[in-house]
Amino acid sequence: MLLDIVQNTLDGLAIGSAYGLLAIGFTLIFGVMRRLNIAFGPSIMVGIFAGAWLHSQWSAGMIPVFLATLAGAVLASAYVERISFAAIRGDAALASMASSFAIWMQLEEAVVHVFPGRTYAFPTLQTIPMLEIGPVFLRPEYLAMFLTAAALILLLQWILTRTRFGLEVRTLADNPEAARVSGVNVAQVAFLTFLLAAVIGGVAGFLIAATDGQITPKIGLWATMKGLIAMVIGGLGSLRGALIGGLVLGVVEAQAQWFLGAAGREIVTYTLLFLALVMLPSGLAGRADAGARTEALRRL
Amino acid sequence: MLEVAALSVSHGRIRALQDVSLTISPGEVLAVAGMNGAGKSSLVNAICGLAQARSGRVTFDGRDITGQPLHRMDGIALMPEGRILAPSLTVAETLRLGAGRVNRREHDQCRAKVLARFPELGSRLGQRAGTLSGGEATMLALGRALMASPRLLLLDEPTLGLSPSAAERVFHVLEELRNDGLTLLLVEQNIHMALGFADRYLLLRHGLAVGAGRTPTREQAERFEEVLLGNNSTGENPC
Repeated sequence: MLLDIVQNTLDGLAIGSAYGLLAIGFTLIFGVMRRLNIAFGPSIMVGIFAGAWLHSQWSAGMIPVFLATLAGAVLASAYVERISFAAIRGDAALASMASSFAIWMQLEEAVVHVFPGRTYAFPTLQTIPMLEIGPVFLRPEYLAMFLTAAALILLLQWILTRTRFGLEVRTLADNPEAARVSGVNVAQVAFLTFLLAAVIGGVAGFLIAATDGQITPKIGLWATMKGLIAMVIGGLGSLRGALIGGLVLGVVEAQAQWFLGAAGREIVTYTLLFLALVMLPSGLAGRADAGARTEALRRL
Repeated sequence: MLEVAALSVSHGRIRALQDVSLTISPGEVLAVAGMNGAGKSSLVNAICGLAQARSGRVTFDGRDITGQPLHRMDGIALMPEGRILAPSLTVAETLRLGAGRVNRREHDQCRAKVLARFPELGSRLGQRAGTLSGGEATMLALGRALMASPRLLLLDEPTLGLSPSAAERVFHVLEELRNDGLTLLLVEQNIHMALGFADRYLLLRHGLAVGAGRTPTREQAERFEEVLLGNNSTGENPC
């Protein structure tokens, strides 16, 4: 049983790293715009279907499919940003959320119209033999997922802490008024952050689709739910929390799947969300961040 | 250098500023005085595009900049009321933010100048802005504005909430900036300090310009109190 728990934890950390990427995408947009983009998952779905289409029509390999997935996710996200965020005033958060819900439905209908089948094939990494380390097995697609997610998170960390754009993003997330009076082009930074989140979400979507080997239009709903749950568990507005939330969700789901089956996994997932909302409303990492920020704002 | 013609600003149904005009020549210091709600901050915010002007025109060095956002204004920087810093950024990052999109060499040169003017910031480059004292935060906000290498600096209540000694330090720095040839538009509630420092003044009341001219003498300045407190029913120029 202990071995099962270790194996499930390793698998859970891998899938959790992809959940972490989805949550980071949500958090970036929420941090900069103070608004929730619930069309984030469906935007990723558009990218995944663009990759699947390239694969089915031209037998395209991994790299073209990967690039098509990113391009599709970025274009769909740009559309969402223009319609649901840039066109709606900054303080109308509810209107933006409702609008992004409408866009969600629109994107899902469009994809179902173009791809009327139930499932579609996606190129998979499962052809690589499984790695065996002592009594533990490492699925290569899970290892690729974990390493890619880790590399992307390090790259994001570098962008946010070492570049001018990252400085502007952090300022906007911390205090939008400070960004404005400092001469930051707030609209441009918000748009580019949206696209950055789309790239991160696109990578997560590709990794998940390439692990499963097949996709359905419901993957948009799935990505939105997983990303939102991981974000809430980790702490709204905290990138560190988003990653932690994703990893926790991945591990808990893997254990529940093994010991309770697919139905039990879903019950455990939503119970975890409920417990997080009731017992840790600021999330696993959000409480300390929120406290420090409140104290700093009080001093300023 | 800066010319504001018949500028009006509304916040919803409230008219914050009505047909206010002013000019500032290079190297000049203009003090904008008035009670709370007189329209001082609305004037500054409308000049630098943070508030939408209902009518009127703002030109800077002959260019029409009416309604343009601050990031498009080359040569103008703002030190806003309340300092408005991002608490999680370090002092070094805040200064870098103020510099805009410049190369490393330009940034380093500019920062060296700012740190020479504010030596207290030099030892706190890695400290978060949210942990600074009020006086230090004011110096940082001023330093951030100066990192943009402005020719015109808009200062909105730079001494707000500061101790008398810290306020004196701010005016000492402003004196240095004036001596270096920087043009200043100063909004200040401490009217005696502002008038003692500025070359010219603009007096606002209920969004209207009710007085303007050369800095008054001590005797003339006393009449400002009457206008500010609303005892001057005619709205005549106090000087």
